[in-house]
Amino acid sequence: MTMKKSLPFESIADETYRGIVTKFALALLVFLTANLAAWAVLKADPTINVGYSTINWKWNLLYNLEEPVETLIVGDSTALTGVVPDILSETFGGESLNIATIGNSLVIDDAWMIETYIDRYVPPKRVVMSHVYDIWRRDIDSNTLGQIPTRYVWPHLDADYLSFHQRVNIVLGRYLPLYFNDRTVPDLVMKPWRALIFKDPWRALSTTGVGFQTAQNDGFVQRNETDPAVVLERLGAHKRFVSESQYHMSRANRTAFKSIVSLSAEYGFDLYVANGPLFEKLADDVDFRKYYAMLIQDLAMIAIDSDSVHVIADSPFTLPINWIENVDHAVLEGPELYTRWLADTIQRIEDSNGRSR
Amino acid sequence: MLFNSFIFVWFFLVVYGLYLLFRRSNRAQNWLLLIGSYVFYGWWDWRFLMLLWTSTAIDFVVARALDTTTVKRRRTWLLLVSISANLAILGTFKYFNFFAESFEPVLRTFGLQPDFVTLKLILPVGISFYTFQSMGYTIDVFRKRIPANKNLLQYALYVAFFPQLVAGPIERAANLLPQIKRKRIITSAQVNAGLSLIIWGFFKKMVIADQLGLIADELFDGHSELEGMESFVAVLAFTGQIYGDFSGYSDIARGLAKLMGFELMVNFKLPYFATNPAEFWTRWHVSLSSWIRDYLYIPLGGNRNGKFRTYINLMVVMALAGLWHGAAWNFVIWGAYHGVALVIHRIWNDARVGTGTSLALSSRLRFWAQVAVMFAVTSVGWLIFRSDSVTQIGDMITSASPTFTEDSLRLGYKLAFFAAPLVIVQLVQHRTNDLMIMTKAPRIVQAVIYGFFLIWIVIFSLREPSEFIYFQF
Repeated sequence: MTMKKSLPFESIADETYRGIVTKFALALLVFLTANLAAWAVLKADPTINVGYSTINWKWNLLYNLEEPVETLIVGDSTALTGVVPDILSETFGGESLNIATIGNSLVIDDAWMIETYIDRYVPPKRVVMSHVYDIWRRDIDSNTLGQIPTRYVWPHLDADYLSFHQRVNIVLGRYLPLYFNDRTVPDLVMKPWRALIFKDPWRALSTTGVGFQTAQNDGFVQRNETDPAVVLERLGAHKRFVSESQYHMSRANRTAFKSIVSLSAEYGFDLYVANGPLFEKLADDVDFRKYYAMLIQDLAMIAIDSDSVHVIADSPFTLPINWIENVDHAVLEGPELYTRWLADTIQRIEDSNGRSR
Repeated sequence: MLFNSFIFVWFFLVVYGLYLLFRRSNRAQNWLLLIGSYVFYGWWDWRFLMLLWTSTAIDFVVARALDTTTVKRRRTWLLLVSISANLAILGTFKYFNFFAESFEPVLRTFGLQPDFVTLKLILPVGISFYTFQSMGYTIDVFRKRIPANKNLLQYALYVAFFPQLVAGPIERAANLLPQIKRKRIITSAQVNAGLSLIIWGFFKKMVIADQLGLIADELFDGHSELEGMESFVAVLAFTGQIYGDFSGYSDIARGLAKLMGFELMVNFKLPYFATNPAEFWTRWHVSLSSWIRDYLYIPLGGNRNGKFRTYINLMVVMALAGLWHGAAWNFVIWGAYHGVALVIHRIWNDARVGTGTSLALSSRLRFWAQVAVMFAVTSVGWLIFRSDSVTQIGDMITSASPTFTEDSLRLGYKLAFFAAPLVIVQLVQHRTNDLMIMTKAPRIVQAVIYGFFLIWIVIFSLREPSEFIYFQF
C-alpha cells in the first residue's frame, strides 16, 4: 500500500444501459439465490430456531397422528413444557397429545389446530388449554404465524381478524426468510459456527437426546435447567408489567377464543382453560392478582353461556423457585405437579357434572 | 420522510417516473422537483415549510435588490438583512432554549432573577443546512461572484432540492443553480454511478451505522458500569456509526441527484485516512468545512494576520462549527477540541519547518502512523460529541483499561463484523485513490458485491427505520 498525498477523487466509469440492467439483474439473482438457500437450510434443519421449529413439529404431529386422542392439549410454551400427556391419560384414560406451541402464535394457533384436528379426525373428548396470563393482550405476530406450514395455514387465512397485510406477511414469512426470519438468519450469518458446534437446539427436538430439554413423541418437552437469578430478574419485569399495564384482551385472541368456545358447543367437547404454572412470588403480588382476576373474569364472561367451557382456578397454580424457569415455565418435577393439579381440578369438574369415565 | 423508509421509495418512484416523463421541459421538471421537495419536507411537519419559504423569500428578494444597487452601504445593509433573518430563524428554532437555559445559572450567580420563557419549539429538520445554503448564496451575490437569480422557481428549488435538503451536501449556488437552469441530460454513466452510490449509501446507513449504533447506544447508555475494553468498543462503534450514517446519507443524496442528471459535491473523501487535523477537515463534511472556510474563517482574517490571530481564528471558527452541529455544550467543546488540534498541528508544522526535523521512518510507515494517531484524535472527539455530560466522558475514560470483559468481546466481535465491509471498501478506495472504484470492477464482481449489499440490508436493517444522526443538526 502506498502513501497517498492527494485527496481521493471520483471518476465516473462509462457503462451502457444494457450493462446496468444486466448488473443489477444479476445482483437481484444473487439475492434471490441467497434467499432460496436460507429457505432450504431452515427447512432442512428447522431446529435452528427452536420456537419456529416447535410450530412446524406440532403441526406435523397433528397432521400425522395415527389414532385420534381423547385429550388434546393446546396453548403456549407454558403448556408445551408444563402439561404431561401421560398423566392426563392415566387420570382420564385414552390417549393424550400435547400440541401446544409458543406464546406469539396466540390463541389463534389453538383455534386453527382444534379446527384442523376436528376436520381430520373426530372431536376430542376434552381440550386442555394453558396459556400464561400476559399472552392474552398480544396482537398478531405475522412472522410467527408464517411459520405454520403453508398447506396447514392456507384454509385459515380468510379469518376476519387478519388484515390483508397480515395475510400477505403470513405467506411471505415462510418464503422470504432473509427478511422475515429477522433473528434466526442474522444469528446464523453472524455466528455460523453455532449451527455447527452447539447442538442444543437439535437435542431439544430429538426424541432420544439427553440435554437441557427433551422432546417426547406425545409433544411434551421436559426441561431440566433452572437459574434462580434469571427467575428473580424476570419476576421484576413481570411485576413492572402488571403494575404499569391496563388489562385488555387483543381482538385476535378474543375472536379466536370465542371460536373455540363455539367449536366446543358445536362438537360437544369440554374445554378447560387454565393459566400456566407461575413462580409463587409473582402470584403473591397485589397488582398481579388484580390483573389476573380481570383476565379470569373476562374469560368467564366470554364463556358464560357455555356448559362445556370451564375457566379453572381463581388463583393460578404456583411453583417454588427451584421448579420454575423464567417465572412461567415448569422444570424438573414442576410439570408433573402442575399436570396433577390440572388433572385433579378437571376430575372434580367432570365428577360434579357426572362426566367421569 | 426518511430515505430509509418505504414511503420514500414510493415517493421517489412516482417523482422519478414523472421526471422522466417531463424530460422535454426543464420548467416542468423544476416545478415537479419543487413540489416534490416540499412534500418531502412537509412530510415531517407541514409547519416547517413556513420557515423554508421565509428563508427562500428573504434571500431571493435581498439578492435581487443587491443586483440593482452598487451603493456599498446599501449593499452591506441588504446583506445584513439576509444574514440576520437566517440567523434569527436558526437562533430561534435551534438555539433559543440552549442560550436561555445556559445563561440562567450565570445570571443567578450575580443575584439576578431571570424570567426566561423557554420556548418548547420542535427543531425543524435540516434547518442548519438550508439556512447556510441560502445565506451562502446571498454572500456570493454580495461579493459579485454570481449574479442574482431572477427566477423564483429556480431559486426555491436551489434551496429545497429534496435529495440534499435536510442533511446536505450544503451546495454552492455556483454549482447547483446552473444545473437547475439548464436542461439536464441524464447519461448512462450517471445512472450507473448513481445506483452504485445509492446502494452503497443504504448499506452504510442501514447495516453499518444502524448496527454499530446499537453497540454504541448500549455502552454509552451504561457508561457508569463500563469495564476493560468496553469504552474503546463504544467509541470505535460510534466512530463507525457517525461516518456510516452521514456519509451514507450523502451518498444516497448524491446518487439520487445523479439519477436526475444533477451533480452534487463530494462530501466525504475517506476522512479516517487523514494524516493530520487540517487534512481531516478537507475530507470530512467537505461542504460544511469549505463553507466555514470561505464565509467565516477567511472573512475573519484567516491566516493573514500573524500566528496568534490565526490560532484565535481557528478556535473561534471551530467552536462555532461545533455549535452548528447542535445546541449543546458538548458540541461546542467538540468544536473547540478540533480547534485545539488544528492549532497544535499548525504550531508543530511551523516548528518542523523551522528546524527541518522529521521522524526517520519510511514514508509508508510514517503515513500509517500518522493515520493511526489522527484516527485516535478523531475518535476521542467523537467521544465528546456523543456524550451527554462531562461525567459521562470522565466515566468512559477512567474505566478504560486493556482487559477483555465478556461484553467487550461480544460487542467487539459485532463491531468488527459490521465494520469489516467499510474498512475493506475504503482500503480499496484509498489504494486506488478513486471513490467510484466499485463501478470499475467487472460486471459480475459488481453484481456479486451489490447482491451482497442487498442481502445484508434485508437481513440486518432495523425493522423500524432510524433517523439519520445529522438530521438533528
